Amino acid sequence: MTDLNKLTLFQARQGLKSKKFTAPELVQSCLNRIKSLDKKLNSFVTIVEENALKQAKTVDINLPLGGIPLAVKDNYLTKDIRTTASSKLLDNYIAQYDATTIDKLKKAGAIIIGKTNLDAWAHGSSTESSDYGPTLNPWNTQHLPGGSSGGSAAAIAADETIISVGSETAGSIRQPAAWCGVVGFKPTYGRVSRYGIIAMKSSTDSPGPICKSVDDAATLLGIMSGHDPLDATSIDEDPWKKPESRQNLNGLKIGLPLSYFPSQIQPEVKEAILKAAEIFKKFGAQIIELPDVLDPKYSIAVYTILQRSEVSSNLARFDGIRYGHDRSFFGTEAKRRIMLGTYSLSAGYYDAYYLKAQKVRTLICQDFDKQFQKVDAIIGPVSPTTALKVGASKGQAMFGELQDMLVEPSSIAGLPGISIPCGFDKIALPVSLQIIAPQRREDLVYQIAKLFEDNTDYHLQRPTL
Amino acid sequence: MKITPIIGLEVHVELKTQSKMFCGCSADHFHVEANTHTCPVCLGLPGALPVPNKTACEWCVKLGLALGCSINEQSFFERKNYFYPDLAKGYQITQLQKPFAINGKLTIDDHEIRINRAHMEEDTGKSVHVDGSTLLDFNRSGVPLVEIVSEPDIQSAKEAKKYLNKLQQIIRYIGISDADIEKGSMRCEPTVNVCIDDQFYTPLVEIKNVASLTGVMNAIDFEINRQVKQFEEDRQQKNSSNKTTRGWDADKNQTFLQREKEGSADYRYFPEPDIPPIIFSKEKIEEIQKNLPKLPGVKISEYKMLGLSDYDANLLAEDKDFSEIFDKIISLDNSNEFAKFSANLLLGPLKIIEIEIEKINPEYFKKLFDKKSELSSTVIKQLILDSYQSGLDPLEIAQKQNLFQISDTGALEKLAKEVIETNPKAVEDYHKNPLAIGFLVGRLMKVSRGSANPQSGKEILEKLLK
Amino acid sequence: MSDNSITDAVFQHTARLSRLEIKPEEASIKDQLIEAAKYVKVLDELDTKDISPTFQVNHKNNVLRQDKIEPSLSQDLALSQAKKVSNGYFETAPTINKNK
Repeated sequence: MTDLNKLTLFQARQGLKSKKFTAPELVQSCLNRIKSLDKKLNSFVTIVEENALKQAKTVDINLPLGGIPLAVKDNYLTKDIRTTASSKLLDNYIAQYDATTIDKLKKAGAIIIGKTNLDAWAHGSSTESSDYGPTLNPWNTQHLPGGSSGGSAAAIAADETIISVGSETAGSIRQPAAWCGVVGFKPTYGRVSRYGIIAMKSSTDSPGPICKSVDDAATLLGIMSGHDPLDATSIDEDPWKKPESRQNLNGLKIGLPLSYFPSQIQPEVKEAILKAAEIFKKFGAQIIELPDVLDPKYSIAVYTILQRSEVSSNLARFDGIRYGHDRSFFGTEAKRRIMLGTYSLSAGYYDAYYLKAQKVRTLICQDFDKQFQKVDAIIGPVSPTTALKVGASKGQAMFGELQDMLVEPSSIAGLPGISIPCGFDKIALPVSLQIIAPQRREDLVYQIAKLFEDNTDYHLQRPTL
Repeated sequence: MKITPIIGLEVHVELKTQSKMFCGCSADHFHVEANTHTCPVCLGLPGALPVPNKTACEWCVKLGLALGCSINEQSFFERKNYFYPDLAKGYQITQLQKPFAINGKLTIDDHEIRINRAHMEEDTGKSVHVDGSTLLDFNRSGVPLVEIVSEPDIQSAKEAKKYLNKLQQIIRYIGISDADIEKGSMRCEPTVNVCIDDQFYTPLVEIKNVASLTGVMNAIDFEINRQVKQFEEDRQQKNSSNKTTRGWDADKNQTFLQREKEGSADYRYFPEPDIPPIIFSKEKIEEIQKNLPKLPGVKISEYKMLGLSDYDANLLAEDKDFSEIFDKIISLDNSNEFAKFSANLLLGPLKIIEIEIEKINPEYFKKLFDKKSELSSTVIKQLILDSYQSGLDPLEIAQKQNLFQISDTGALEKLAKEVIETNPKAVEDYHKNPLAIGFLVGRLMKVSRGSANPQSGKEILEKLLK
Repeated sequence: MSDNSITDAVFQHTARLSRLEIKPEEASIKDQLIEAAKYVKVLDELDTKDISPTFQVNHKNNVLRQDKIEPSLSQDLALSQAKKVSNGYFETAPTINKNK
């Protein structure tokens, strides 16, 4: 069989179970695709060929992910496989333990075929700041895949893998998924354990799946989620379960925040979102305009301060003594962020920066509470534009923040959200829609996304490579 | 020139929990092979996250309560950011804005020393300096520490020592740490300056590397003298940026400058995002308070109320196990007389030998007390010791060895007659001088093998010799 | 909030606190620091006088573990990624200059 790599998780599971093909064949097919494409795309930092094939031979395919090829963002610690965070500082780092999520995915039978590229230390929204070179967008290699989970999103879009995992701090799952036209599911903060994922902004870091369909992402999220005693901020709940899908959205109120359509928005993006709203309306949802949602510019500022502050502390452990190279191996972007963080936490500035930002964070949370009194869920564009050109991020201190402005508010408030394809622009780059719900309401996010996917075919489009 | 020393003490105490503060590694690091008690959390590996130890948090509160502190209903941890090779994460998890315990006190000879706080934090790894490099062992990294910070209310090196002794006693009493300064499970950093003529304050000096109680006293005394001399030379006064850190060199018996301008240290504290806040409800605090053992200070005053001397009361209260067995003994009879009787036995014959507290049977004290009119005090002392060693009932021992005093006049008279008959010379002496009766009483005691009551023996002899 | 406060001295101090060496070709970091500090001034538009900060978004508390010993890493594994080790210890440049 050819093109096994193009299958969704659902299709691959069916094929394996009905013995249409074997796990080694499936893994080999993805590895072949990586070999033929990755010199061009650079989605992977490390490819795990031998071990993946070996595991595929003995894996129990009746496990929930038995024999399914998995691409892992390279900030998840994987025992015996190099973990770099796309920084040369960790060029030779072989983790001594598996992240909790990796442990769960391995136990579910997933086969790790490689570690995917990201902005070094996940600092960015382009994957351009990787010390291992940028990843290119499979839809158009002149363009960026977004980031920081750009490698995972590109690998999915290019069918180099069946499933992948990324992590989001403020947009790092949803924005690259949007630019690559795939599904990125960012869960409620604490739904998926952070243990073993290189910390960036601890108070919002949320690992999650990037997949080819809403169902795939929901299945994967179910396996990744669940309380972890090693992560004190993890939600004390059983693993999340995908609910029944819906045939209509009767009785559901969906909010459309006017401030999520800033003046600089690309017209095609705006059009596609409004068209999506019409589809929801057609299926019985009530679309309610939200005129007074707090301007995302405040979230950019809050995020900038808090992220830099926490980064400056989280990256302090990298001193080159117990692992990795010394601090001179930090790239310019990491240095920039550490410097701003150190500065905002310094004596005399703490109140004006860090504390002020945490107070505004309260206002952002309160604003969502207020909006969710009026509506059940919120939709909007993921990014104001489609994928920007390679080089666009260079030298722009606030590049990521501006690209992520529409996903930052919900990240700061710890809300669940999804990015799903909902159209294409003039040059055939994907446009995506985000759906946001209150904390722990992944069920709503799933149902709305699933209904949209069931009634459109954007997710079935694939780039020609 | 009038000199008033101003001394504050920062004391770090390592808790003797099973596991470390934020991970499940064994907290034991004394004489353990290097880097064998570490894990991703205490080694500061990427991605690892801390989860606080429940027992350690409760013990910190327990100590807070024992020091008369108020307990913050909501506390949280913060990160103190600084670089040092033995600080695995590049920050120490500690408490700043909301520590578990605040505003306590310790009274030393009627002088109240205010305690600013008792907060929870983690220890660092250990650096071993060898020729040309530094070796690092992270077994100690993450071991729970409580830091007790006093206000600068201490006025002399001697008072500092008393404060430390008392703190140590309380910590051992509530059983949360060995508080052993020599072993490093209790560490002390004095901050010293001097007020001269009630108007000039010398710059603050924090003293590090003091490794014994004597060291604390010597370092403080040295520093007081040094600062006074320094002030006479340069008239420099304390300000917000001239605090310095000096190390203590125990060999040379002097302090030396380690770090100038403490004001430039900037630890960039912020709330630890990996650990949610900790709430101690009123009920929980009451429960901990209720389970607090009676502390030495309270015990001493209680013992004194029972008529014990100050010295004896202190001696009994000093050791928790010792005072607990004493409390058990005196619960059998609430008379002051019994308390004194038992204290004498505990502090006399028993205290001399290395006793195992659990071998002491309180009942035996009561039994001996009830029969004390029939036993001589020498015999009682011997009996408590014999019964402790053999585990046998002291009264049975007395019975077997015929140690009961003979108060039966018939039997005594028989023995007295014998004594008179066999000691004619002494009888003669008595008739010349009545004071010579003492010799005959002595003989009588001897033939009765100590069981004769000397008073009644004397009376019977006098009667017979009339 | 004032971006004027990022003088050369403040910049150098910040680099020192961060344990970073800023190379001459990275000089733009300073301008970008100023730019970012200027950008976040937008927060001053919002009144937060009676607002308490949100340090945790999922409102948890009292997440504590029982005092129980779990297995540690083997010494070999603990040391496996270090540049320099010596007799079971991590080794690094000397940290002490005994200025007695």
